[in-house]
Amino acid sequence: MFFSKERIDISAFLPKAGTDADAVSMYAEFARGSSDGRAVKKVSIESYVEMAESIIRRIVDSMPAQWPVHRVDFVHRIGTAKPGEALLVAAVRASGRTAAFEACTYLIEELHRAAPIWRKEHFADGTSQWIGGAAPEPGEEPRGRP
Amino acid sequence: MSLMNGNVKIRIKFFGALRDLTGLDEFELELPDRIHCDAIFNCLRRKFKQLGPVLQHSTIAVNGMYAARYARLHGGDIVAVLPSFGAD
Repeated sequence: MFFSKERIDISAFLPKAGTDADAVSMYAEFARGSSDGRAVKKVSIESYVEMAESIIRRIVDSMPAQWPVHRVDFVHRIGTAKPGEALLVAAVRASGRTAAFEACTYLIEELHRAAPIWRKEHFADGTSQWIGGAAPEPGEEPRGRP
Repeated sequence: MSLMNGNVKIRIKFFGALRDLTGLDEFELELPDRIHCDAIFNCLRRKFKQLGPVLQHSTIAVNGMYAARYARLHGGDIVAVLPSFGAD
């Protein structure tokens, strides 16, 4: 399961001592407090979860063939988040910093390109706006290493 | 499975702004068997005139996989209409 309705505890993703890899690349996104000069009160995160889970699984499964990746931890928030709360966290454990950085970047870029996930920012002035949503090619499969 | 009139039932799922604008997250449409995905857009434009701009930037997934507009639909398919607003 890559989605959680609960608040994400980033500290749970901090690297722990291990002998299988010498580098961990971490990435997190947070609900922002303002957008285009407007104060954000809260953010709703929505997904076509069954489809997004399958796409994220394919992305993660495609990583070890491209980099010496040993472990991938990933979670995406759904539901409602307050500004400052984490919306997603990824931690990629690999052999070597280049592999860790590249694989983590690949995961996030593919996620945003292909996974059906949307955010709705609710502003303090009562208005709101949708952002996000994937627009991949039909028959979507994760793209390989650039 | 075809109905008596040769049509089939397709389940439509709306997300994000599409659900906001229609108040619907899921419903059924009765359409001719093997109709193109593209026809779904035309059908939805007629049924929900308020969706025009959002539908222009939406893609379709059939049974959990992104589908080409010329792909054909069959009875029992689940069609998700997925709006895209670009990255923030």
